[in-house]
Parts: sequence; C-alpha cells; structure tokens
Amino acid sequence: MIEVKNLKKVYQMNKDNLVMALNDISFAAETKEMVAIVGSSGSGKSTLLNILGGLDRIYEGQVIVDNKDIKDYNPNIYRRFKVGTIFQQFNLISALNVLENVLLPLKFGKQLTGKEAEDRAKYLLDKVGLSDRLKHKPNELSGGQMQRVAIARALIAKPEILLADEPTGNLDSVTGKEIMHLLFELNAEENMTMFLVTHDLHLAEGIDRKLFLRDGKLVDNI
Amino acid sequence: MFKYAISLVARRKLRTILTSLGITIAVILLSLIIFGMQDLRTLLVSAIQDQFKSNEIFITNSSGSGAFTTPSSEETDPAETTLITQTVVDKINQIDGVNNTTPVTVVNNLEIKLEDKDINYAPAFISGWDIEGGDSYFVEFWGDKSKPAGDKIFVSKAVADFYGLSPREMEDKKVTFITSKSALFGTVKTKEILDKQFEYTIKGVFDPGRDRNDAIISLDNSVGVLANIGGFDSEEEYVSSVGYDLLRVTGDEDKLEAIKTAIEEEYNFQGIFTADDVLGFLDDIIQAFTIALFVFGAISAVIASIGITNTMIMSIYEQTKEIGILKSMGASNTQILSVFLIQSAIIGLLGGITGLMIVIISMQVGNIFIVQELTKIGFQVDTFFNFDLISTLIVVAISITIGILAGIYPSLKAATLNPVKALRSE
Repeated sequence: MIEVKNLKKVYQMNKDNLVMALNDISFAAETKEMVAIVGSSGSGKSTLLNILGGLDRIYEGQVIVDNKDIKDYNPNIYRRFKVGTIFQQFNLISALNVLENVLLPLKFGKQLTGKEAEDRAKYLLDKVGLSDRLKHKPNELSGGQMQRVAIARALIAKPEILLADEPTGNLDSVTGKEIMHLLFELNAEENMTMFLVTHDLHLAEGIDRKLFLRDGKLVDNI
Repeated sequence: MFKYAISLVARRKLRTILTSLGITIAVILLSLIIFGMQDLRTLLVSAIQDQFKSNEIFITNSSGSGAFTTPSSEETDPAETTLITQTVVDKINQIDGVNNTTPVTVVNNLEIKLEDKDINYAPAFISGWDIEGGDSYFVEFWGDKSKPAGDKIFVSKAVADFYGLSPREMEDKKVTFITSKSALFGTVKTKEILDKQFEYTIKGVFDPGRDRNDAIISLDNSVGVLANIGGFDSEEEYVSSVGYDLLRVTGDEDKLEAIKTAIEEEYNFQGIFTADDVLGFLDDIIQAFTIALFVFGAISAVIASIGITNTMIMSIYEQTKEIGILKSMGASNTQILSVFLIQSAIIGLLGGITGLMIVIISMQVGNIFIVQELTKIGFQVDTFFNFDLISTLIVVAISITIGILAGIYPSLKAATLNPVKALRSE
C-alpha cells in the first residue's frame, strides 16, 4: 500500500517568486492498483511522479511505501528495488543494444544475475514482442518498439511500483493503444501498483482510479 | 558498468584518440628517460672507466679539457697558474701515495707525411708521452711495445687506415711531421715556424679507442719539437716557460683524494681531476638531460590531464540525460563516479599503450643505427636501448593514473548531478 500524506512541493524560482508545485496532496493506493494521475501541463503531475520515484527528496509531507516513509529508504535502494519508471522519451541508452538496455537496472542492485537475469530479460522482451530484436540498437527501432524496450527495462527488477510518465506521448494513437494494452496486461501479471501520468483523459479510460491535479492541487479523486 | 564505460569511450573514437595523444607524448618522453638514459649512462661510464683509471689523477696546463677547467676570473689570475715544469713533476712525485708521474705534451700544428705518399694526414694530434705499447691506454697495439725513443715513434691505426695500410705494413716506415699552414682553427702561425720538418720511423701502431691521438713520440723529443717550433733556446727553457700540457699521476687508490687535496693546496693548476670527477660531471650532465626530459614529460602530462578533464566535462554535458536515467534506475553516486573514472582511465591507457608502441618500434629501428654509429666511434655495444617489462608496466600504470587523476573532478561532477534536472536536460 502507498500512502501520500499532505504532500507539498515548493519551487523557489527567484527571491520573491515561489511556485507551489504540489499543494497538500493526500491519497492512498492499494497494492496492484492502477492509478491514473491526470492533469494539464504544469499541474504538478511530473513533480508528484518524481517524488514517488524517489528522485526528488526535497518536499514536505510523507510518502509511505510498505509502511515506511520513502525518506527512510536509501534512495538508491528504493529506486533499484521498489520502483520502475517508463518515460515519455523512452530514455534508452543509445550505446547499448535492446537486451543490454533491459538488463541495465540489474547492474546496480544485482537483484538478479547471470542466466536468471538474462532469462527474465528475454521473457519480458518476448512479452513485449521484441524477442527477435535483442541485439538491435535503439536507433534501429521504431518509437513503439523503443517504448516496449523501456517497459521491459522498467519491469526487469520486479518493482512494486511502476511509474509511467506519459508513456504514449511520443507515439501515434494506434501504437499508443497497443502500449496501454500491454501495460494493463503486465500490471495484472506482475502484481505492481501502477501510476500512469497523462494529460489525456482518453488514455485513462480503462483505469478505474483517477486523480485529477490542477495547479498543484488534487481536485478530484475517483 | 565496465562495458557501459567502454561503449561510451568507443562512441567518440576520434575524440578519445585525440585526447589520449597528450598522454602518448608524455609516455614517449618518460620512456626515453627509463629506457635510454640509464643505458646512455652505463655506456659513458664504461667509456670513461676505459679512459681514466680509478688510481689516476690528471693535471692539465691548459683549458683544453673544457669542462674540468674554468676560465680565469678575478680570483684566478692566469699569471698565478702553476705550470707543469720538471721541478713541479719531481715534487709531486714525492707526495705520499704517488707511485708514478707521467708528463705529456701535445703538438697540434703538425701534419703527418708518410714516406712515399703525396697526401698529408692533417690535422694531426701528436703527443709527447713516454708510454709503453702494453699500457692500458691502448685498446690494441701492433709492433714494438717499448717506449718511443729518439726517432722511433708510434702512430695510430687511424693514420694507417688513412693511407690504406694495415698496422703491420706501417711498421718501419718513415714519417715526416711538417708544420702546417692549415692546422687547427685558431692556432697561431708565424713565418718562422713554417716548413719545419721532423723525421721519424714507425715502430708501433696503436688503437686509442675513443681518444683522438694520431702519433706518440717520446716526451724529450716532443719538447725538442715544441722548443724548435716555438723558437726557444733550449728544451729546458720551453719546459720552464710553458710547461708540459698534461701530467698523469698514478697513486694508491685509497690515498688518491689525499694526493689530490695535497696538490690543490700546494699548486694552482688550470685543471686537476680524477675519474670520479669525470664520472660526477657525467652524472651531472645525465641528470640535467633526465630533468629536462622529465620536465617536458611532466608538462605533457599536465597538458594531457587538462585535455582529459576537458573531454570528460564535455562528455558529462552530452551524457547528462543518461546520468539521470542511470540514477532513476538506482545507480549510486559511486557507480556513476566509476563509470566516468573508467572512461578517463581508458583514455590514459590508450595514450600509454600508443606511446609505448611508438617507443618500442622507434627503439627497434633506432637501436640498429645507434649501435652502428657507436661502434664506428669505438664503443663496443650490442644494444643501446634495453626494453624491460617492469618499466613498461610502470609506464602503463602511470598513464592510467594520470587518466584517473584528470577524471576525478568531472567524475565527481557527474556523480553529484541532480537526477531530476539531469532527466530534464536535452
């Protein structure tokens, strides 16, 4: 279970200009739940995702994961073992091939090693339909294929939380739907709590739980 | 992690190669010190030990010995310089520990003419020296080894070679020493000294090794020649007015320093030195060369370091987003640090290996020519550069260390990047 309590994040743009990116946000998500965080640009959804991903640790309030404030986790351990992230820009490492990109997160935490790691990577790449592209470099793939690699990479370390930041933002609508379908399928299979950040309400259609953000405030929680 | 670091280096091949060039230059200079200077020293030391024995002191009456004498100054009035006269030689002979004194004169304004030949051997360096053919001064000797006396003299193998004769063929031939119009640069010529001739018979041929010595006549005879050319009334007048040019003092090895001190306290010769002095001077020269090469090497290393630092900082700007991605996956600061340090170490390693390869190839090629040239001038060497693995490994280790040191600042910068800002960068 993930609990967010009275979360506030303020950016000091300059001496007299403070921007309240998140203003007293509180919500909870059950394990295996799929949550859509919907809001327009500047609503604070990416800030919220950075905090949930353990990348931004300067904020007020609490984020409780497995009954423990994430500030009490070693940030590297939290990022390695608790969360997996999918970015809008895919963010693959261009120098590494598909298989190496997927295996990369395991290099830091050694959650899985050797054959076990490779089997898991191949399994995931098979699930996302890229078992024949293992040795390809990212620049040899289409946008949809790159996002599939990014999904496999986010799942390789069996995270408890999957964060997807506008995962279809750089894809055409057909490919976007395919990716969303894949995410639903994998969420069910991998038993993760998934947060999907999007500005597009249509994308969140299949997701029961929705959090609506506007100007840093949680305006609706359904 | 290592593979990722290598892939980053390989991604920018040209930049990596250009950056590593600085290290390459530093390695070439360092290797020259390691592989070349020690061998050069060994070679020169053996040459000096051939020439100057450890139980000998050399006293000179002129500044011809260059490095071991100093020009006159206010403190050293040339008028007060002691001449190597017979009285002085006899007194030095009395000093405790001295076994033998051998005065030597040098005549360098004569040409050598072989009996039936039309060409003269010039310029000739002729010594007046009562030395036996068996003396260790000679590398090789052919003919009658007894000291030169009267008109019986030794000539060098260089003279025999000049006339295309073997040392044996030179024996018993007549030679004439003729005052030269074209003798050494700067030698004073006077009307009176022109066209004087002195006739001798060759009784032995010698090889002086690396020394330049074309003929050896007896000391008395040489003084006679010098007095004649110089217009002195007698040989005694010449010696008391001009003195011998050189005095070789042989003594007990353990008393040599004391003998030298005693001579220095009593007399004010232009130059006085032992084999140790020569070796010390040689060491100074070698040290100066080593320092110069080391300074150039160090400057190259510093420039190379700046190059690596610059390249690494550029890499960080280019890889900022990747650093953010790695951090989002849980890469620790230490892991990011190591990725960048590995990159800079690889640049150092590449530079080091390239430099060593250039040095080794140059050594192989250069060795042949250097040995050839050294052999020509009398050194007996099989190899000049001595390659050794330990030194090579040390050079490679130094290159990697320079790479790592240069990479520390940029690597720390990369490791401490804010992941959120890094992910936002394009």
